[in-house]
Amino acid sequence: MEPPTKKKRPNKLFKIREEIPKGWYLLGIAFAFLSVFLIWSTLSWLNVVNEIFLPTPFTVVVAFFESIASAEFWGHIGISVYRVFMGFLLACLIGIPLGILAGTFKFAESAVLPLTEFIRYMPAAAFIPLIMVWAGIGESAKIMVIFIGCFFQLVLMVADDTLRINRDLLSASYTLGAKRIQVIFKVIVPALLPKLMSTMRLIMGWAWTYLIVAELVAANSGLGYTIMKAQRFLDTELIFVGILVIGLLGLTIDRCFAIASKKLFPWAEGGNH
Amino acid sequence: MLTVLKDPIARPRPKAEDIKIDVSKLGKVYETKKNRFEALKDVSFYVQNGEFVTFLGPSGCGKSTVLRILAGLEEPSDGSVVVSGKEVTGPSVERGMVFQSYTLFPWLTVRENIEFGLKLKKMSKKERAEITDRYLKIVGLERFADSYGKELSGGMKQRVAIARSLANNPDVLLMDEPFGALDAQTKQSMQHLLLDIWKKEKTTIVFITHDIDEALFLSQRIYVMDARPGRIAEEINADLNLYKDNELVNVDKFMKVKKHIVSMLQH
Ligand SMILES: Nc1ncnc2c1ncn2[C@@H]1O[C@H](COP(=O)(O)OP(=O)(O)OP(=O)(O)O)[C@@H](O)[C@H]1O
Ligand SMILES: [Mg+2]
Repeated sequence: MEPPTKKKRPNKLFKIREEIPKGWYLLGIAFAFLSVFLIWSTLSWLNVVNEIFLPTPFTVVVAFFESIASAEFWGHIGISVYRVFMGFLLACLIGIPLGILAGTFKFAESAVLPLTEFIRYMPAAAFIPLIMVWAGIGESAKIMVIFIGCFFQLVLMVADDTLRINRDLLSASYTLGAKRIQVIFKVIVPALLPKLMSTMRLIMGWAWTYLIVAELVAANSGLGYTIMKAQRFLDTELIFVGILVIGLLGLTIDRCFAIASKKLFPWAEGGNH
Repeated sequence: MLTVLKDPIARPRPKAEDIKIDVSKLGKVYETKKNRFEALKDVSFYVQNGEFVTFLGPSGCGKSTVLRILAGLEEPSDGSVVVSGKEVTGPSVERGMVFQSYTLFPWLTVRENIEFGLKLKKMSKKERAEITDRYLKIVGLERFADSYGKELSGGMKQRVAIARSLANNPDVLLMDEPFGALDAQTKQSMQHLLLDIWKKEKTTIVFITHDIDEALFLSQRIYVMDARPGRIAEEINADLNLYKDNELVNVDKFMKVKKHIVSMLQH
């Protein structure tokens, strides 16, 4: 018998939506990071851009380790995380039930959605002066900026997620004997959970953006404040450190969300990464 | 033509106490901002106790609308719908429904899906497990009891949906093109399964399809519908001993009836 001739398979790497080997994927990630690092290094070390504007990677790394070695910096991180979580939690606590209601009952929809749509287009940052008039520059002011930034988006997205639940799923539960209240808590809510998790993940990103907005304008603590201060003294490397730390925090929280949703909803279809 | 039809045309209406579902002069109008759409007009039919009836008709003729109204999921604009002697006013466990789209609760396992209605009835755990095991066995999914919907094929999902409806012990099972999305082979085995179940459980079944062969194979009577406005065009007796042990034995008669239905649908 003749051995089967090995036919060369066409290159899989550039197939649309096709999975690629894990190694290649990691290579892609490494390549992207390395490119950014290389461009940055060349620009700064060759002095193409003045060091005041673009510190070398080395200076930033040193500044980074100096920063995280100081208790004061951790204090700033702590207060920023606190603000983000308070504003985010508050938005979730009120926004999620409201969104579910609006996606479930037409009456609630009429009361909630048009108004929310309207306010959503008012930039949260523009509310800062108003909030300062109302709430001064204390903690509640910053939490409120984050709340306003997140809340209206959240309501709209949750309402939309709720509306997207297959109508036949609800019909099926009615024919199985579910009463209205059971349909809400035993069908709509569980059906919504994975979507809700990814919506919250997205909104968490917004919360960080609004935190920095709030802290840049009016604060004497927090990561946004350290960035402001660094700018004032032209400590550009500290601006980099601040941005980097925010990025790392955001990434960590995002990964936590992703892992939690994989663990909590093993039944969910499709991408949860 | 009428000589051909003598046989397939339905028998006279049975006695009142034998009638499970009695629908008369049913009408349904959908009002939108711009226009008013008459989805059903003057639809009257009956289904006997323990009977297997199919509705056959082109897309958009209102088959699903009839079924949703029977289930109590939608209100009729006109006419009356009586099931088991009572006017239908809303959904009820007495009328189970299997949908064309897959409606498994994805966050529940196969077992939990089948148990869903029983839990709502506050049935004891032991009783629940007994019933669930029975139906898992009937639909042949014992090995998948603890799987989630995303791990199942289309045919398996519909088997769970059927088991879930039957576990509630409904008087009437409403099925809206349940096998429409399945491949030919799976479809056939599901049809056999359904007939077996029907013979065992003696549930009254109202089944929607647009597949003539399916209607002839499964049902005792067929209502052929027509569109614009949705209405019943003809009632056909399909209890003609066409099949024996799931095999078509009376090809001539089958072809005659099928041709007749095709001409009805084309006209
Ligand atoms: N909620 C609704 N609002 C407006 N029109 C509707 C609504 N539901 C159904 N219709 C219309 O009523 C008609 C009948 O719909 P139905 O779903 O009952 O058809 P069908 O016979 O089940 O078709 P198919 O075989 O494609 O499932 C269609 O023309 C549809 O556009
Ligand atoms: Mg339909």
